[in-house]
Amino acid sequence: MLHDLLIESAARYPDRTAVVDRTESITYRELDEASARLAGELLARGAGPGSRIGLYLDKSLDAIVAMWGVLRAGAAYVPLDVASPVRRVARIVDNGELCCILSTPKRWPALAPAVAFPPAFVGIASSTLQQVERGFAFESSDPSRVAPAGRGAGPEGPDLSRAAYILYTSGSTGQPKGVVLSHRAARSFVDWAAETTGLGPTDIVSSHAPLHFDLSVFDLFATCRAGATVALVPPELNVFPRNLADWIAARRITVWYSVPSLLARLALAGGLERCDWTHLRQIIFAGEVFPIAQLRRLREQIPGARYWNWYGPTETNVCTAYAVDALPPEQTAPVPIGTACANNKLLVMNDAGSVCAPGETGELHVNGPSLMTGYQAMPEATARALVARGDGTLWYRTGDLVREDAAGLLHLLGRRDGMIKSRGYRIELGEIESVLHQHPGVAEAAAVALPDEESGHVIRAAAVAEAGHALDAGELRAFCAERLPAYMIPLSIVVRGSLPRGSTGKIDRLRLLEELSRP
Amino acid sequence: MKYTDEQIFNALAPFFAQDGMDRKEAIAVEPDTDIIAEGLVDSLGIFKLIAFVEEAFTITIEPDEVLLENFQTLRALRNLIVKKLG
Repeated sequence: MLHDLLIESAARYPDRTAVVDRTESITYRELDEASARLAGELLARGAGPGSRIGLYLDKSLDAIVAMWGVLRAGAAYVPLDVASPVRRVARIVDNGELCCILSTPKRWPALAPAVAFPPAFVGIASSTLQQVERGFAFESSDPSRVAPAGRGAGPEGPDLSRAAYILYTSGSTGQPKGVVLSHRAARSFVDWAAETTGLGPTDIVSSHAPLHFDLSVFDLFATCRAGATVALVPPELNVFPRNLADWIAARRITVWYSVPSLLARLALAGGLERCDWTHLRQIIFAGEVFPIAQLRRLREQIPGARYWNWYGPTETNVCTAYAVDALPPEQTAPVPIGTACANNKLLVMNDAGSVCAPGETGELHVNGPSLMTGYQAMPEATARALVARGDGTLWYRTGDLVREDAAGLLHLLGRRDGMIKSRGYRIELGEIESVLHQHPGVAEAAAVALPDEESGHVIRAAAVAEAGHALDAGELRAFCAERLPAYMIPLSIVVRGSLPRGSTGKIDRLRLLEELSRP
Repeated sequence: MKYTDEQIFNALAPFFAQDGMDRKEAIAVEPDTDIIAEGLVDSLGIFKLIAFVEEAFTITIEPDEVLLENFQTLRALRNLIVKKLG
């Protein structure tokens, strides 16, 4: 099971530092004890295999204890983004039928009133209540409610097919989709990743991604498997590349993993020449395309590190990898996503449903041990995403268009639907449109994504007022801000008399894109 | 041009009332409010804030001045502005 990684590392390296936060740290022994204690508390309240527990916590030592405690209780952890509007978080609590939420005295009161069907019980981090022992104090226990909230579905004892965590991503219909990953899927990726990067107990691995982002799976679990130290990156450093560069060097980070847009900002504005980079041996990026000019610049400034491009939608963990080779000055295309990894198999399929020859463009399908179980409480979406082939094998349709080159390496070419990436965040334009449509004054609305060198994409939207309504763009932005995370709010919203339409009456998105890209 | 501290804080306030913010109600930002930890300025907002300050005080903020210690609070920003104005 996934939590065996902690139990084994705590036995081998009890006094090594497991996690460091700003000024605090926790050893493997302490993490083992605190998480075992929390697991006992959760089990005593009726949670266990089959139940789902929300973590409404800033990334912190408490959050790491909570994550391990939930896993050890046999339950699945569901990270809830504290930076998202509470309305969106409440929809996730609802869809996930969470039996418990672990939070803090500061965070929980903001979310509690928004939750329609409150969890059976709530645990509040007690380290923030100045108690000596790190743990959670439980309130408003209602054990009778645990069963309907999802308890008792799973068998007791170790079962690798049991859900380990659920990560919510943007959904095109407006409802975020919960990607359910099993212990087997997580272990399959983590074992591969720790071995590929050669992680050992002296490594110090950065943890930059929030817990609800799948990059965190490598940081937290692969690091633990190696008995290494994970260093939580203070989120305010995202705003200041020079401070971030200083932090990476001062913490003697040996393995860095993040989205490319952050590395690009470090290369451009981090003042990297000021720092000593001898400790940093691996730089891994995933989540979006790294513009080649900025990757080249980063490599010139930190030449000693090995660079990896990993690829995989949350639904697959990581399914391809590419060790970045020479970047000849004439190369303008982004680096490939490489070849299948972590025992996954890949197929490139054309629209007719047959396998593409090398050189042909098609949609990437993935089969293997690190695949998701499905989307939480969304059987139709699951059936569309996971398709069976004639031989009975199950394949995830990524929606990503790829092409295999003569060397057998895959290249990512784009999407076949309305999903985009901006600063590494996965965004369904449909989710933004669905929010705009909820506004009583909006008759119709469309969101488009314009390619942008720095962030990947910027989003612009247009809305048409309902007859008799006066629509104000500023008010629409505020409306979005109450329902969408900041990275999904359009850079501009234009109120117009109509949207361009094609001959079939469908919104002509290409024309709209053109019109909205004019200054 | 010399500014009092109050003039500087008053000049910065409109940024948080509307310009950079997707909020219905203005948020009271005190001189010592941690505008970064509170999420009032993120990695996109910092560019807007820099542009706002450069225009309001006719100064140029250099890349090596874009540091947490210069932008964490309005008081820190005030110190930077006063230094830039010489």
